[in-house]
Amino acid sequence: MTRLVQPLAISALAAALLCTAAGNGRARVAAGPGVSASAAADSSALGPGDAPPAPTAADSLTAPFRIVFFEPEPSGAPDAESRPAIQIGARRDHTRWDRRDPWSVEPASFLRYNRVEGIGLSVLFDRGLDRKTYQPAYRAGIGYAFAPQRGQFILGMEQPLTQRAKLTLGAMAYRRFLTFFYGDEIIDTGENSASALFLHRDYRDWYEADGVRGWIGFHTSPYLTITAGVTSREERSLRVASNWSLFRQTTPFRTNPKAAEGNYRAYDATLTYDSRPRSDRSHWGSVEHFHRLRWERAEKSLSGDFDLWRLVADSRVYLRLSPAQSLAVRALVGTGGAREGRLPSQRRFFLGGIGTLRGHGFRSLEGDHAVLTNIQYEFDVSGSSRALVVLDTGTAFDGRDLGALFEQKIAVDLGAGLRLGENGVQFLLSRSINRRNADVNLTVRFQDTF
Amino acid sequence: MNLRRSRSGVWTAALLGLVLGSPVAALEIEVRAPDTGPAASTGDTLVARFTVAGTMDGSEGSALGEGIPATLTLVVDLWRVRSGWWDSLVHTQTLAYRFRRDLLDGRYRVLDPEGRAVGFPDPDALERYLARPHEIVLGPAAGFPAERRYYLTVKAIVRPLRLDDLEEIDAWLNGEVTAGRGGGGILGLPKTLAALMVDLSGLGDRSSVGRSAVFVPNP
Repeated sequence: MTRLVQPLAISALAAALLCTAAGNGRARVAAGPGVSASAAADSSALGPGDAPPAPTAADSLTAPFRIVFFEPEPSGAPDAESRPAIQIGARRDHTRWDRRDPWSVEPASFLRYNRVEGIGLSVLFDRGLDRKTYQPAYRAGIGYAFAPQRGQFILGMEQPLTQRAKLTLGAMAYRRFLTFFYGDEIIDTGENSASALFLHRDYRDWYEADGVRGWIGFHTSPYLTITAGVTSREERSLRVASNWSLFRQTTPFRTNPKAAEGNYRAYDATLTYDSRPRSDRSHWGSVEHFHRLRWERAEKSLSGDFDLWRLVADSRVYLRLSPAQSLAVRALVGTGGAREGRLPSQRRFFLGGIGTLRGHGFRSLEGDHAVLTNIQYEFDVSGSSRALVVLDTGTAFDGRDLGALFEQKIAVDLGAGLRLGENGVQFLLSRSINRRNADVNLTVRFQDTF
Repeated sequence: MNLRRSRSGVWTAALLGLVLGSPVAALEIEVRAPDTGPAASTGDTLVARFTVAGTMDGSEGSALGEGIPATLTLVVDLWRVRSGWWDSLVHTQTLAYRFRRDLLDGRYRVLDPEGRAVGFPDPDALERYLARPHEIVLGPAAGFPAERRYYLTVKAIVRPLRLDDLEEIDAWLNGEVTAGRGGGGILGLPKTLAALMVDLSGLGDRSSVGRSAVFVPNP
């Protein structure tokens, strides 16, 4: 009870003090939200001459909760084109400094299941960058994949070198099971684990990486990060080590594609602009962006086994068109080349199926170059349900020059579906519209496609 | 999870029908536009107001009434009307009330948007607390562009606590700062599995949107 009484007493005292300030015959605006005792419960709106009656402590739980959109000074009022004076609650700067990109590997889940690890267990401790101090960010974790009986680890840190962590230096060592191209973007670990465990479908392809990485980071704003790094690691193929699931037990898992093995030594540069709040999409602003441009170059002159380059641009824009409509657009362009011919399989581009071309078969298109666009329009239909309309276009192909792009047949998929709840399950029917007799794919998802 | 054709589609459609057909109590949201006439002439502050009723469902034996931890999220948006084009979102702000029933003393505990803990003896008292008026301070009328039309929307979402929320509350109870935390720990298990169970158990979210009349702050 003490824990309850104390905050109540404090809020009653605060309410009384604020009331005194407010009770001067004019509607006064408090400096922040939650000044709950500053107006009477029965007043419909405060206007000139409406002096709020002085509330008592007992009123504090029934008095209106106050949300301040704009400060009373004219300078804080909403100009038609400028940003509002007060940023939304989700835009706390510190949330933007927990950048994942410099680490280049997705942090492992505590518990997961897939066809190369079987059951995987990990324990991970980490801390993001704090722009107010020089404290280093760190990540330390160990894990174990039971089916191949293989241990995993990650140990790294990123040290701010300047104020507000605008310039950082980082290093890490790791042994991890990584996904082929875009495997961690089309489906997250939890949903892939659920799919493998219940439906005997693992949508990721895997290889093992064991090595070190160092980088320098420029965090020029909470949204923009530029990193340049060097990597040296052994890359190895993984085979299917587990073949059970709770349902569809007679259907085997897909074969895990063979990765090109060897010592991968490369340098890379990545530019990331990410304005997306970490909150749910229904809380986002009118326009949010995610743009990432990544270039990597592996050379045998670095004493590695690979000689290749790759450039990937991933650009996404999220729009809230109206209270009941939203639009999300993604454009993905990837290109690369290798001295030996094609890019190694773990770096080739695969399109088709969930997360990319949803009317096509899973990973039915592949090549050293890829172009993909996704447009997803959503609108409210009933309660918290939303209708989805999607248009996916793209292709993947091999070729030595960009001229090959214009010789490609661009796949076009159209889909429609329903989402139940704000972040609930999605049902999507999609079909290729430029292939005759194409199948209609039904996709059930528990996360947004992008 | 990609289910191709045939039998998979049948049971999925059946599940869809079951979920869509489930009766769900609606949230009642009333949003009142600010009184713009006198305020605009004197330069005083415009204040709108809204209420949200029905958070606790009201049905006997409901999951929330029995004390399933839940969150009421309020997304308050100010939109500017544009002719011949989509309206423009001028400002958005989010509030969250997290509540649960304390099994030790039977009281309902709420963590309000400012992180203050409040207790109530029964769900009706909690419902009255959550349904109290909320005021939206829009600033001085003179600060708005002349003759532009605006309206407010309030989206209320009620859903059982997600693991993200539990992590925050776990940290709050332990006096930790949550900034920059990542995976790991007992709550780091795949959240999708938990979300899947929540969806299939019928404890999914409820939401509703209320909209004010169009108003002209600076006529």
